[in-house]
Amino acid sequence: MRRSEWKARWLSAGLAGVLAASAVITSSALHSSRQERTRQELMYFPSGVGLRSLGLGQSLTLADFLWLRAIQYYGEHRLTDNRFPLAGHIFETITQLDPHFAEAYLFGGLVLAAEGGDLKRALALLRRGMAWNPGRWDLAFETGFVYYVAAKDDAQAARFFERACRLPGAPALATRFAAHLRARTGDNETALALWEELLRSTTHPALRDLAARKISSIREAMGSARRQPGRP
Amino acid sequence: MKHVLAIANHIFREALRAQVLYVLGASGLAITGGAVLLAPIALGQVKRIVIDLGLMAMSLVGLLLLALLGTHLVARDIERRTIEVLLAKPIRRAEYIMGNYLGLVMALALFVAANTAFLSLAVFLATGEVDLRPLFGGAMVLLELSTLAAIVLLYSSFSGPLVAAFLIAATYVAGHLVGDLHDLAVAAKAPAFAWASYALPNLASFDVRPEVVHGFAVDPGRVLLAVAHGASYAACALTLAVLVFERRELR
Repeated sequence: MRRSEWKARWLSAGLAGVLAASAVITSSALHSSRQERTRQELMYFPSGVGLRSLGLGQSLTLADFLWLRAIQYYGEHRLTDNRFPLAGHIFETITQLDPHFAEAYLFGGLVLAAEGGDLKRALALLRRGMAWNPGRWDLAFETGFVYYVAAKDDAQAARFFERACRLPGAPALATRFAAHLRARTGDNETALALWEELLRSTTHPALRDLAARKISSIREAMGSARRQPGRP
Repeated sequence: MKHVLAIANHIFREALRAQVLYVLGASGLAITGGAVLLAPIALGQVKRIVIDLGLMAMSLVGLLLLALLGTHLVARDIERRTIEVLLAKPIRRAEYIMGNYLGLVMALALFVAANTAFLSLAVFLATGEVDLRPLFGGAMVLLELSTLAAIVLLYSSFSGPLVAAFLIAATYVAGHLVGDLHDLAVAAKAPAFAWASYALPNLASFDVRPEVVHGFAVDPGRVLLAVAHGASYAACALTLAVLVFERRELR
């Protein structure tokens, strides 16, 4: 082989080496920029964690198929025995495959709390949903709703309605619910602040009228409480 | 350069004449179109399902195209002995490989463009909304397939179509599991394997479906890193393909 051909071969090999190093460096940088995931054994198959690894990068598509299957599961049992023993596992799997699938947390939380009779699992699912999707007002609102309707815990419900009303896109309903429940739990100061905030932010005449009346009645209640210092 | 373009043009025209391009292209469209029909049972999630299935179909069908079309490029020329005529022109072996790559990428670009356009139409039919995010998803799928195309040519430079097809399928699987393989190697305290995982193409880095489906903001730094990784990996694979092909006996 001629000297120039050897030189060309060595240059090509060197170039391949440099490019390989570049590929390795960029891959390493991509890996370190990934979110840290909890390392779990694949023995949890077929949980969402196991399926995610086996899904060859198609975890969102798997979540879609499981979502369609979940709807069928709910519909079938709704029309027959009204029992949903696998609902918790199904919705946990869907949200493990796609943690940003907010509608799965919403539907799953409602099914578990209202029809599955598994309040603890419903709240755990919704809390995880809020952790992964902190900007979604509807997740906080539904958590408040579940506390109010299913757990009968006004204080916790008020807390989550308040959280919802401070998130972008939240309707006035969230503020109303939060203010109403704060007053019910005796927290008139927070209730007053929330109604005043609603009065400032809304242009809806009926809501403004309601807020004004509520502000007036709370101030009256707080005034009469101050005039009777002996009372707790 | 004109030799490279001439070969690329020829490969592209050959691909357009190949039945497999239309059959696989139609399957991709069918998957996307079928997703629209799921609207009644999707409980309001039809847009997400259409975009997700559409991009998934593009990626997987694109892989099939590479396995069925890309692996035969070099082998067919060797079998028909047309490669001897080409190399006698003279066309350098490096130009031959680059021309095949460029032609293959042009065919893939046509496939991805058609599917992306149909995907945007499907989203519009399903929801009434005009959404341009699938275009970004399609572009990243093309980048992924272009990286795989270079690897296909590397495999084709030293093996037959069947072996190359098997190897590219295995590479696709491994490329999507790079993160998990690395984590397993670290958990098993095997640093050599952890480093070896970086030798695989990081195909998961081209997956922007969470951003496209959920509407998250795209991190331009991450996208640039993925582009740089794909470009360097493809360039490295092509350089190695040329090196191997230079030494290959064609008789």
